[in-house]
Amino acid sequence: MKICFMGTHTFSLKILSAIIENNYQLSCVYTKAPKAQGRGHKVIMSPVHQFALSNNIPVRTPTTFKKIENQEEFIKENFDVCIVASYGLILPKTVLDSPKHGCINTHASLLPRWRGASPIQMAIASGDKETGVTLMQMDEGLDTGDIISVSTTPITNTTTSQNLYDSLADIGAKLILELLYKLKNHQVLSKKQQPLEGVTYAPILKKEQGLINFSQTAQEIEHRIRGFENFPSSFFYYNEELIKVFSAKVYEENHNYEVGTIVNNNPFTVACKNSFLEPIIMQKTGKKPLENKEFVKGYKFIINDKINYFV
Amino acid sequence: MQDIDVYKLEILKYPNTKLKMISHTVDIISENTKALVEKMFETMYENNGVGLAAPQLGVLQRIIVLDPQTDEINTPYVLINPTIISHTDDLTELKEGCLSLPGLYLDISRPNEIVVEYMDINSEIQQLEATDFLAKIIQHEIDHLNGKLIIDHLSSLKKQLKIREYYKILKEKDEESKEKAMN
Repeated sequence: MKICFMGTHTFSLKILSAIIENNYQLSCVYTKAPKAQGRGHKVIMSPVHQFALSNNIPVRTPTTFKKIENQEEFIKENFDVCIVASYGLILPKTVLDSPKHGCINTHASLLPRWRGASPIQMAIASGDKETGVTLMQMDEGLDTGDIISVSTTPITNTTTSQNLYDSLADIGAKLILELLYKLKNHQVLSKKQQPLEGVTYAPILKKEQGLINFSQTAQEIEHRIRGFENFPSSFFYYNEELIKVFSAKVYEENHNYEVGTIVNNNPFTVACKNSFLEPIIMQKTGKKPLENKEFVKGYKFIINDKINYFV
Repeated sequence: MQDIDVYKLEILKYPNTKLKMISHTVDIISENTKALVEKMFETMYENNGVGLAAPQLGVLQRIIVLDPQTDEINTPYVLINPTIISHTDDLTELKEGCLSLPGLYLDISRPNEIVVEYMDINSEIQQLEATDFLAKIIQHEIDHLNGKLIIDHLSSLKKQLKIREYYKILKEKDEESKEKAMN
């Protein structure tokens, strides 16, 4: 069986290594081209790129599939199946139709919920109780293809985007191995259309989505803090300074304070809609993240001051 | 959001820290919001600007006003919570100035065509396809809502040079106005 793999981020790395460990032969790996990044703008290969090279698998790094020669290079290989996991490039119809079993994508949500770029973060940030991985026969739409298999996992109130990311990658690897086993033994895949109801979109996250809105309930804010832990991370402004919050406690309690009011400065607590939010880990720009009671030793919050209040 | 005394508002100039902050989404359009929009138009026309963002007046809310004042387009626009939902890949350059960085004009390259979704003053969601000059102004003003100025588009070395140039222009203007006051 001639298998092609497409992926870029660490999410795809676990799936790629699972395929290799189970002795499937990969004829080719596609990944995003190495990019100058970080301190000193060093050219860094994607984790998938490094892993494929160390396993002596040929690597291709086209920058776009709009070019006919890139499409032809893929098509003339006559792959049996192409496995895609957080690759980052849009595949045109000619590429999608070329392999015998088409291109199969590993998407980290329960489709049709959270189609798009940030399914893991948005599932936590919206307070979903469960999420999972969906294998999908890719078509031209944005994550609209037919569902091949699904596996779910619960989201608890300690799940952060980082540990969910890791566990979903494991689930994705397991589903891909099941799929490859079926294909190897010429079993028929059962496919079903995505439901038309319950479609939501997870946009590419931007920094401005991290600004805490204290007119939400503390629980809603806490979900966003956990979902956006890595990027864009949640923050607020006080005295024209940016302060990040990495985790927080929620106290459900009705009150008469205006939202965004500081009600206590040790531990630092803020009034939200029908509730109070007490940050656990906070960080000032350029400083280390600190626990609330340590943070307030070096930073004066004034009771009854308002956060995110300007003019 | 608390009520703002709009009559006290003035244009903030670099290096005011508020210009680097991210603005809030507007939930409700109140009478106070409408007064703010009026004040923003007034300030924009007074200073011969073609666009203004609320954070330039120190109000961290996602509101921009613009009026390209060209022959083709000379209608005033108010965009609340604007987001660019799509843009073309081809970039074009334009010399841009900014009321918060008076005297400084920089070549900035941005997409030439965009589609922007926003809420109008009657709380209705609208879409606008903008090209050329109009597209550039909208992107410039949306940058303000995310704490980004035109100098932030430059490399750090070039940025330092331009900031020095800006302070020099500012100093000259200051001396000019002092001389006028003396006479």
